[in-house]
Amino acid sequence: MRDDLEAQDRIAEFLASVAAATSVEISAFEPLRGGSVQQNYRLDTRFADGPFAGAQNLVLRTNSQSKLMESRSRSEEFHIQRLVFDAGVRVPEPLWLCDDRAVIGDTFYIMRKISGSAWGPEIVTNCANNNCGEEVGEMLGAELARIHAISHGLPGTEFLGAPDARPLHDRLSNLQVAMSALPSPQPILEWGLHWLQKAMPDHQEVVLAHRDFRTGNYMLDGIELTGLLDWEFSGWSDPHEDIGWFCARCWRFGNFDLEAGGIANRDAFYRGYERESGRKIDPRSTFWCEVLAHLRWAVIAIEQGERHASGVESSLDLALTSRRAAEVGWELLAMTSPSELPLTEHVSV
Amino acid sequence: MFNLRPSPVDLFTAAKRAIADWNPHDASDLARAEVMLAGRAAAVALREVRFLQRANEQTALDIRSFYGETGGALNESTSAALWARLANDIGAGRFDTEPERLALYALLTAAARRWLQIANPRYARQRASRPDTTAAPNS
Repeated sequence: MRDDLEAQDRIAEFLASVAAATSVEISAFEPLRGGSVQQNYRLDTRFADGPFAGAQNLVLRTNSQSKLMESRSRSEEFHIQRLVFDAGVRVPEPLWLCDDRAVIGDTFYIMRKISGSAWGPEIVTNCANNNCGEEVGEMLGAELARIHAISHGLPGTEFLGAPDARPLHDRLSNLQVAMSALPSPQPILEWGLHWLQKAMPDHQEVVLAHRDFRTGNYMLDGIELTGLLDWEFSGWSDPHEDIGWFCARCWRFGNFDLEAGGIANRDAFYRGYERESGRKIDPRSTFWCEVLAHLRWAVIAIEQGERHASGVESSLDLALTSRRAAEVGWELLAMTSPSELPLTEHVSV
Repeated sequence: MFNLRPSPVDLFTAAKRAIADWNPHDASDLARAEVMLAGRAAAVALREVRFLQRANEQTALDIRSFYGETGGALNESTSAALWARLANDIGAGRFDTEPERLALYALLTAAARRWLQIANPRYARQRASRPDTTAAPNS
């Protein structure tokens, strides 16, 4: 699409119409790194007049050629991003949604471009070099708590539908369905699924969850947290799902000892979260959700490989992601050793 | 580890194509990241071509031995069919009691270790040398 000048002209016309400008000039339009599920394009523009008059650095987000089973539509993602932006969560401001496929051939939305980097390896290195990991971890904990303050019944949440009263059951059922659709049987993942079924936490809450809250999905500019990205999996869930996903070993980018996203100790992240939310993090539910995180990531990795192997979307990145299932499967086994009883068997509730 | 998709050959072909498409004069982060990705993919695919079949054969032997010890009848003739049978039986909760559960865990761990050493030997080494900091609470 970056070389399709007619598509760029149509994007410029769309921007002019929604921003009440007489014209919009596009000076840069190129794909952004990352975003292996959806496609993001940097869009440097100049609006001739109207409320956005002047230079505007934007991002266009649209669908990939294929999608994951649990991905939301771009339209839903736009509305979720608007919901959390209005609630004061640090996210790139979503500006306009375009459902007219005549513009670029698919639905897309435009948001403001924010500064910084979201690349996981760079984030963990920068946090270590700048000695700011604890501070960032605490900020992220507080930010997550602001997302979790959005609950069912609040105005503007109707489009998310009614939540399941036991969302972790729902998550596991969905994973089971996803596993049954994988191209080949997976005994290691079946082991993980079976462990999770037997150790399900009794107490579950329902909040709005990001469901991909991890290092790699927030932008850091120096030591400033500039925004949370990638809301395509968001929905109602138990708050521990996000906490477990963030702390899961598979998302520490090699910095295994820093259990909160490879940047901070758990204490700092938990402190920020508990102070902002007034909620106490349950270590048993968090551990269960970390096991869930490994199972889910392994399933997604295999699905990503299938997107390539099926011929729907040729991508070396997707092809290689399938092999991440080896290390994630290893971690799944390491966490569920039978020498440890399922948590519910030796922890009183 | 059985029936990997994309296959090792397909992965290698994709890596080779990415390297052929690489413009060495493009110094952008994106170009650098893509060529590094291609290098990693080629290395994984070559290890798979070299070692995966032997690893799968060993795992198939382990599965036969496991079913022999646990008294399960096996009609499956191919390695992939054995792997599928194992997945079905785990899902059905066939090995929930001791000592089958421990034996199953040993079988899966051995298979996972073999695959990890092929897919990401650096991670396997790191994992062997670092203590596990994520432990079940109250365990």
